[in-house]
Amino acid sequence: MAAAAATATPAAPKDPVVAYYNRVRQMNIDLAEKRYKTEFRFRTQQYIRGRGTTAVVDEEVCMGCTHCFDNCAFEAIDMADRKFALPAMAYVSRKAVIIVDNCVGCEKCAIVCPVDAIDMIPKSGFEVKDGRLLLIGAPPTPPRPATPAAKPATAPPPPPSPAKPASPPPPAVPKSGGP
Amino acid sequence: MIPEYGPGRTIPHPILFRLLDSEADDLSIPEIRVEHRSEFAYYPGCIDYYDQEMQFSHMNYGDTNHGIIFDSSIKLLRAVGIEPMILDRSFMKCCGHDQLWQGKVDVFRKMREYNSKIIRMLGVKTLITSCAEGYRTFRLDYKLDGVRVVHVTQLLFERGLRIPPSGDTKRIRVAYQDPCRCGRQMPVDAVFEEPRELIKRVDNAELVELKTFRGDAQCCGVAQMMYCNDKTKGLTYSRMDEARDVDADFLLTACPKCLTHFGCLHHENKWRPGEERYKYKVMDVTQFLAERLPGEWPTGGNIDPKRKEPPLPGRAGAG
Repeated sequence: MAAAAATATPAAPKDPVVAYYNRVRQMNIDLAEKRYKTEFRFRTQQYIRGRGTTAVVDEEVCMGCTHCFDNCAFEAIDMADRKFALPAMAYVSRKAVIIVDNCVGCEKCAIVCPVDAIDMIPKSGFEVKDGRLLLIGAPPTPPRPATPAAKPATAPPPPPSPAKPASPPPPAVPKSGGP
Repeated sequence: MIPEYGPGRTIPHPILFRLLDSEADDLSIPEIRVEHRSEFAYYPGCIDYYDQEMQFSHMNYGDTNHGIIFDSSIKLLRAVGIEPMILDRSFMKCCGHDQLWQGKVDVFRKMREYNSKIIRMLGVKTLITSCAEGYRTFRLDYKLDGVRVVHVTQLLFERGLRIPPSGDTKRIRVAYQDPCRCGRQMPVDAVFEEPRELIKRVDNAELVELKTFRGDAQCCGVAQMMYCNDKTKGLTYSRMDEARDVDADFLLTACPKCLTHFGCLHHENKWRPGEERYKYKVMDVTQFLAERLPGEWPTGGNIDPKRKEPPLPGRAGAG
């Protein structure tokens, strides 16, 4: 490798075939770099910067490359070692962990993640305890507002029936209490 | 038109695949400039993209060099008297192996149609590839009538590559990993013997076999760069442990993807220098042979000068 780097410096080789190979080589390196940069820029535009979101890491996908950790400006990402067991061996793998209290939802980690392991979800409607996100999914409808809504629905229906004032039983009570 | 994506759609796509798919969808006609015509054509594949992908993923700091496969192959081919023309990425597309095996068949068909047209137009008689997956794809999945598709080690063996004795008395133990696409999954013309014979021609190298080899060889862990999780990493661990158990100094492979995954784990291993697990070097078989061959490298290196030293782990090493 060192030899290759040393011979890369002389710019004008005599052999035209070697010059051709050198030119193609350099062109391909530049091409790959340029195409990667355009694709990266395109990908950043897919995310719309918004407020009130937080990042979540899919640990099945995260490969512990620390790219999000390096890029987070708010110290909202930590790298934790998780233990995993296979039939033959146990090993430790690095995973990204979001510190939700620090996360401002800038989506930088989701942009730089090379394997799309980080998603952005809205912060509201999710429960955060001890800095960890506990509830993922739509918040269940609380039962309390449902029951008071049902009660007034059943209570008003009794309309004043025209038969009630005409019923004779009430006069019997004052009769017995009178003497 | 809605593309008929298969199961690959549910897989997290790295930027690499977005890039390759957008390349397949690109219908613009490129300018084809081949300054050196030959009936031998060398197709380097996506190695430069792998370098970019590894640098983007913080997995490569100069010790896993895919670009050097190009340089080494050209050097070795020139040593056996072949000066191929290069089917480079300015006018070729990816061979489509990953797209095919991920189920994106329509993307693969686009790439196949385009690449076959260009190969036919340039009058290629022998298509040389240094990539195991490219070898299988061009050989079996493309319909290239009249074009002989060879892996670079096959051609070097056939032409009788001679490696002069270096006079180095230090013996080195070399293990060879059989790529799946070159051996186990190649029903015709599997590449088993040729790399081994070439390694044996290095005078101070001693070829050692891993626990599983040839047709039974275990995969490096990931096929088609589809996924990277703890299961695949566990497979890579067990494969690299096999090389450690036979006390190898070099672990060679003939597939850039294997090199990627081994190099990634090798690099992750270096984060804790106290408990270093793998002491051997991982490289491509062409690089190993070309380093033993005297003479200048005909093409430039692909080493980013800024990346020679690995940065500090964590926030201190950022940027």
